Amino acid sequence: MTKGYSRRKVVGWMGAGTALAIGGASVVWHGINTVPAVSQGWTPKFPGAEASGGGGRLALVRNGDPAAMVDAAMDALGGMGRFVSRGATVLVKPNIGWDRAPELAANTNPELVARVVELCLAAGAASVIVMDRPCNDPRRSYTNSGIQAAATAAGASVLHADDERIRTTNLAGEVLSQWGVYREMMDVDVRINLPVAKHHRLARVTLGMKNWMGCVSGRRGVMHQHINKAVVDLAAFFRPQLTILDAYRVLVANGPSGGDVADVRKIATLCAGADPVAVDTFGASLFQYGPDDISYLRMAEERGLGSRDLSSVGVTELDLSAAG
Amino acid sequence: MLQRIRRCVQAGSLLVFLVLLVLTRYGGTDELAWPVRLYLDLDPLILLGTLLAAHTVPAAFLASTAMLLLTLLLGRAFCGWLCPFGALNQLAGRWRGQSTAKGRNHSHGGRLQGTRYGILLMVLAAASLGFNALGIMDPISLTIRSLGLAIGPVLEWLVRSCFTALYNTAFEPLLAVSEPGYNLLKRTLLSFQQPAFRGAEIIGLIFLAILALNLWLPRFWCRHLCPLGALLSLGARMGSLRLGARVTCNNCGRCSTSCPAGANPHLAGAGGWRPADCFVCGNCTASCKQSLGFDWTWPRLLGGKVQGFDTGRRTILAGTGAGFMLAPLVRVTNLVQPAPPERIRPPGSRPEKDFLARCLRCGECMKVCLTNGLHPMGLQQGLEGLWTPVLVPVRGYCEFNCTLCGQICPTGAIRRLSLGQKQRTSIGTAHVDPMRCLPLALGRDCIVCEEHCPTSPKAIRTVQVRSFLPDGSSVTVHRPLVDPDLCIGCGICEAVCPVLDRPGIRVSSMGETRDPDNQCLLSGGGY
Repeated sequence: MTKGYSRRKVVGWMGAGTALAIGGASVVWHGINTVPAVSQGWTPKFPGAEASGGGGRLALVRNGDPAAMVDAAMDALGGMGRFVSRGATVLVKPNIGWDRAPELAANTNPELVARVVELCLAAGAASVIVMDRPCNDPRRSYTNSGIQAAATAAGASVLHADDERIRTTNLAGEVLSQWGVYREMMDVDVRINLPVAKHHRLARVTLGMKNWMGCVSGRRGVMHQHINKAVVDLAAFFRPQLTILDAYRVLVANGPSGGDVADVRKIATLCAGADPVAVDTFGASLFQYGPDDISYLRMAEERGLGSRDLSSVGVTELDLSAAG
Repeated sequence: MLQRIRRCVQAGSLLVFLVLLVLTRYGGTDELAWPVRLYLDLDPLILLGTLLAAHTVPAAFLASTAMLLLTLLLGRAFCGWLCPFGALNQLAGRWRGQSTAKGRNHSHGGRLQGTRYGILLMVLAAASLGFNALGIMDPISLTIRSLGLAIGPVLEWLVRSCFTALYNTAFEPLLAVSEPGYNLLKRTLLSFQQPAFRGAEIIGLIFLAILALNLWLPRFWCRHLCPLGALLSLGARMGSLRLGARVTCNNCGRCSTSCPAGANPHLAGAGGWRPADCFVCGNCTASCKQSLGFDWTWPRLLGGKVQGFDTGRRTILAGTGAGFMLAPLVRVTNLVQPAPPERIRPPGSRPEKDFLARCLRCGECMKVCLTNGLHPMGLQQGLEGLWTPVLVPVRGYCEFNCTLCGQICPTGAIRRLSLGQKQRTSIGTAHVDPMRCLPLALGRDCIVCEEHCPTSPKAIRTVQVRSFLPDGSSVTVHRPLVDPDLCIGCGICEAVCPVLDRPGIRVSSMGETRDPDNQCLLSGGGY
């Protein structure tokens, strides 16, 4: 052994080194396993929240392909530029709940998603995020719905919801309080809700306001215990600037997952507007439900999220087959 | 020179093996895009064992006979050059300090080193009576199972935890670097979600223990225990590759110190080199300055000097006898009927007896499962069922449109089904537990199981019934009903049930298509 390195010294250093390593590992381990419980003081960006919650006509378009119908609807509403300002970051939230092909109408139509992304980018959006938290395997659902391919080609960044990248947030609702919310869905300037109209056993129909269930993590199944209040709580928190309801193909039975083309009706309809309650009220009418038949519509109106009275809101109707 | 080339090939082979293991996952298409089970297909021990146990030859394995024939030409080059477990053992052996290596006797270990023949005979004898234990001992199957189910998830968990810890600091300059790195890893090396397998710690500990044996004697597993190595030895002892020594040998002994196989290269001049043990690694020729070199002769199939077995009659008898005892011993447990209710086999699984004869316990189906729903079975079905795949619905359900497990199964224990066949194949049946189901037990509406049920029409329907709240008042709720003719036992209802630990709807194997005896209803055709 080299001079100056006595056995005693080496053993001492090794002991000290081991102690340091164990102590350090303990500190690092603690850090790794400590997740901030609630990010207090973290407030989501809601610059456009006041744009929602009433006001603005509905655009109702029939008998076109999904892209043509949304083009016509946005023209009627004054253009996408009214909702998406230059340089804005945009969340487009389709329903990608299920590992089902577009023909089965369990997810939002992929052509519609792609066209909305293109319109946002044309209006000058800095970036468009398309994401959902599916019920089936997310990769399969994104692929089989056709939305991943269509939205990516249109220029959106299609992201998967990551349960390690959530902010536990107080939704401050009647039945929903602390829930994990996906960061990417919150840190945007503009939210565009892009639901598909479907049958649902408990809520009767699933439309725009229920689509926000895809923005929270955790065991969201418990929301069904007070489904109407939960839907309104979500709608009150995630206020979109624009709701575009896809009723190109409509699932009329065995919803919300479906699985049989016999349950699908192709009615080639699209409804868009800034008022989420009005859009959903129209959507319910597609299933022969009146404004009073769906509890969450009434509760949402009472909470001031919008209006169930379509005549007072005003509807611009367009029929693309008549237009030629 | 030989040694350098070998090290490159060995590292490359290990890398290919690991990459294929990482790619054993859903890749965006319904069909697996990569030959992810290549190493299993090239394994002649699996061919032989499946032949004995199930009396069938999976076509992909015919290529593995080439591996056997190659031993006549190249000896056990597979062990030294290609085997991923051999490479891992070699790496583990490097952790031994040089000082201890010098003092150790590296020459042949005598009859102890012939234990591998006993193990080979044991697994083959057991296989001939229908107990497929060879997948437990086969090095490829063992490595896939251990890395895929235990070691891999641990490494992944550490990586994810570190990145999440960085994320939780919410320190933006740091996140600007760490998050893109994390996203890159998620797109490449990491799984889609953190995998976790029930009982995998035992699998991991056994794997680490085998690697730890290298600290005592390098490549202990390969020299003493490996049944695949023993099988390859049979051809290698007659092989045409011969180590020769010229008269210039000065008996320095460096060659044998460098030999990881105990093949006695220092006796090459006297004809004492042992081709059945040699890995053809080239360490000896690299260590020798003047004398050693590999030559080629004709394979000694018909005559000529052939190395004897480094084992005795007792090992042969004990190994074979143990195998013949083992099979009925583990089978007796299974004579107790009915089957454990949690034995929900993947869709396409053959009838249980045939399934057990074929299943290697390699874990490929569990690794590839989309939802992390397939887990290695514990001892619920005795030793015979150990590490065979079962669906654990509370952990993950069987995805309706997925057929990956049937595609990947190397021995056809899980048959490859078309999507249409798979969607009509029942692996069990869901039963509502009225004591736990929220609407029935607590008067709260739910229907989450009905909502998720993937069959069309839905196997779970709801009817409105009267239920009671805890205060005694009555309410109308939606009660779920299962139609056993439509239910395929996929378990998504159990997976999403808000009642977490023991859900209000649970799947058991009852009603599975593959077993006409595991039925409780009289009606013909299925359940």
